[in-house]
Amino acid sequence: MTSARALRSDDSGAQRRSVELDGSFVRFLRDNYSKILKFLLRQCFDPHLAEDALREALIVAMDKWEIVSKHEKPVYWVNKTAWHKLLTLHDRQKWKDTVPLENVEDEVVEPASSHEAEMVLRHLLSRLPLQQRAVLALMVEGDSDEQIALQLGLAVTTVRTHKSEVRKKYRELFQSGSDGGRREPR
Amino acid sequence: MNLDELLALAAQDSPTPLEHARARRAMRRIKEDRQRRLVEGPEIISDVDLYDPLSADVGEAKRIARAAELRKRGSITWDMGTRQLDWSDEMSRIFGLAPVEARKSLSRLFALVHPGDRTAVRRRLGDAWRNRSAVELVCRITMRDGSTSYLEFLVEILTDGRDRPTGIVATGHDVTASHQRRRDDERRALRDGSVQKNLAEVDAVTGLLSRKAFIDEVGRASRTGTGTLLVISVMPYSRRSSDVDLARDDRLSAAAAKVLHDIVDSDPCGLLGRHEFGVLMPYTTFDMATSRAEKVVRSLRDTRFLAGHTRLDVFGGLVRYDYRLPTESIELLLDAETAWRRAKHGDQPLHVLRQQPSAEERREICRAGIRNAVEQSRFALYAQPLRDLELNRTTRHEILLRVLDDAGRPTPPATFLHLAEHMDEILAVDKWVINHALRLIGESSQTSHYQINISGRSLADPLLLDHIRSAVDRFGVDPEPHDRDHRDRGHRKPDRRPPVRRRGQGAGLPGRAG
Repeated sequence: MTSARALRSDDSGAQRRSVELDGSFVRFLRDNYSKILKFLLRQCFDPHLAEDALREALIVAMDKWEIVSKHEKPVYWVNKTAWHKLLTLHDRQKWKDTVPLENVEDEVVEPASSHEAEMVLRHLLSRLPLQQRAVLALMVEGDSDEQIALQLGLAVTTVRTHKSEVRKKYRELFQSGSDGGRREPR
Repeated sequence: MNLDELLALAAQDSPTPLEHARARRAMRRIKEDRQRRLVEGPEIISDVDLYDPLSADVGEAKRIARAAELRKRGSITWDMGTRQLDWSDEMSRIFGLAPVEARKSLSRLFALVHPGDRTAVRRRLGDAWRNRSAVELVCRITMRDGSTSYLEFLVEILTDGRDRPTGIVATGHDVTASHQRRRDDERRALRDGSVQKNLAEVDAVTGLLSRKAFIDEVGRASRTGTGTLLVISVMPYSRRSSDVDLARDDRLSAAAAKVLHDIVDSDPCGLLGRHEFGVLMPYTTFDMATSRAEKVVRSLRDTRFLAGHTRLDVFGGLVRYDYRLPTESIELLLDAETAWRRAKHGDQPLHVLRQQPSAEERREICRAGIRNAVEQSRFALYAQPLRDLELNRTTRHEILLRVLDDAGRPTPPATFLHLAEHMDEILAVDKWVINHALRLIGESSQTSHYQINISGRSLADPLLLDHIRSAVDRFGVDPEPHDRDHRDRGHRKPDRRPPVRRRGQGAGLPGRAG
């Protein structure tokens, strides 16, 4: 009798735990889904590819949420996993890159809003190699060199190298002056 | 605006209600997908690393190596403190070494690097170490079997808390295939840019116009005036064996072309196919052309001991053209070819086609011939190994089609494919090729990369993809390493290799012939 009651109590505990986990995962998704999707979109410009990669990562995250939710920052784990899924899908496409049409040879003007800043950012991203894109995408989130290195599985020195390359490319693309080159948005 | 200001402005972009709705939809889909997968199997299996990225108990080198493993990259780690070098099992696989037998040391690593790349690799590593910056490099590795692979590495410098270098991690993977693809594209672009058109219009062996150039010539003539077209078949009188001796055939073609040229003087002549020649006689009456054609055929028949053959079996077909009765040049050619076949059938030296067949009649004759060839499988498939001399390995096998002539000898398919495309019967031929090629590939060990050439016209057929899918399933072919190529196969040079598998003859499989 006592053991049956204990079993019932275990069952209800497990159910309660499962409901709590589900609730926690839903909250996580509500707060972070758009942000993670944007992180991926800033790298591949192909919404379907980005959504596929994110869905794959989130299915695993949901399945292992009991472990993942205990991480210091679960969003880092999802970012890392989704990024690797994206790279795998990208590899399967044999590196046929997608470039957004709206960004091709546009005249870059002073961004006045966050949306316009995003457009300028995408223009810059489309001209970078994949790892540098990922570093820049995490720079937008305000992550430190160490945090970027942890999420992308790179050395801190590599992140610094990529950051320096990104800044150099930005200057090249948007250099000021009257030499006919593009102007830095100002 | 500098980059930091741009990033700060972009970061202010907050999710729209539409994005929130998308997140909710995604949530539902993820739940459904997870449920479905759990129904399919007890556990969701995926290549992920469940460790907390912020966990401090994993060193930088190990963290990078684990990330590389997730992406199926190999990793090499060198620690400055211990002077130890190690590489992952995946790296051993890429190097073509067994993990247990591999002696892992710096000297062993550099021994694997191609001698031509060693200095550059050392210099790049030195630069990275001095500048504490990452470098990407591509170098060649000499494999145990003597072949060469191209590997791409990201070399990263590990540092301690005070930014002092403590080691190196290099993650890499094999990029030979993409390197190969890029080089093929470059070579193709170079070839397209450098081939002289006028050289491509002349057959190298006989010096006569190529089939394509001759058809153009016929087209020009038939649009502007009247005249006649003679097509001659020049075959050795007897051939006991069905074996192909391409060098001897070339000698015969060259010798016959010389005889032909001496007789017809200035009229345009072309090599239309194996042992088939065309002579265009513009502005000639039918009677005059008939007597000239008889003279040509007789002269060739009277020729003895030509290119190792005692006698030649020569048949001619003659047709006339008129600019007032517009007919496509390929159709004229087809009529003349049908005429020489009739001559052969009736054992006459020359058949003169006084009345052109109607378009329907011509199409029906041609289609019947093509369908007959498909139904009777009058084809042979060859696998041509493509050997990369730089990599010292066979990179792929190209499946080539040959049409069997009346004696069962394989002939280049250009003429046949050209007609099949013209008569819209190419799909049946391509389906035959796909079925038989995939069957042979399915029966082999499938260790090679095969390339099957298909007409662009067939590729446009919406049902072809289903046909390929079903054939792939039916014959148990692993679709990963195969290409379908829709380049113009009709103008390929015939290969000079022996057949490796002919339908019904049970010879070896294509991949093993190279």
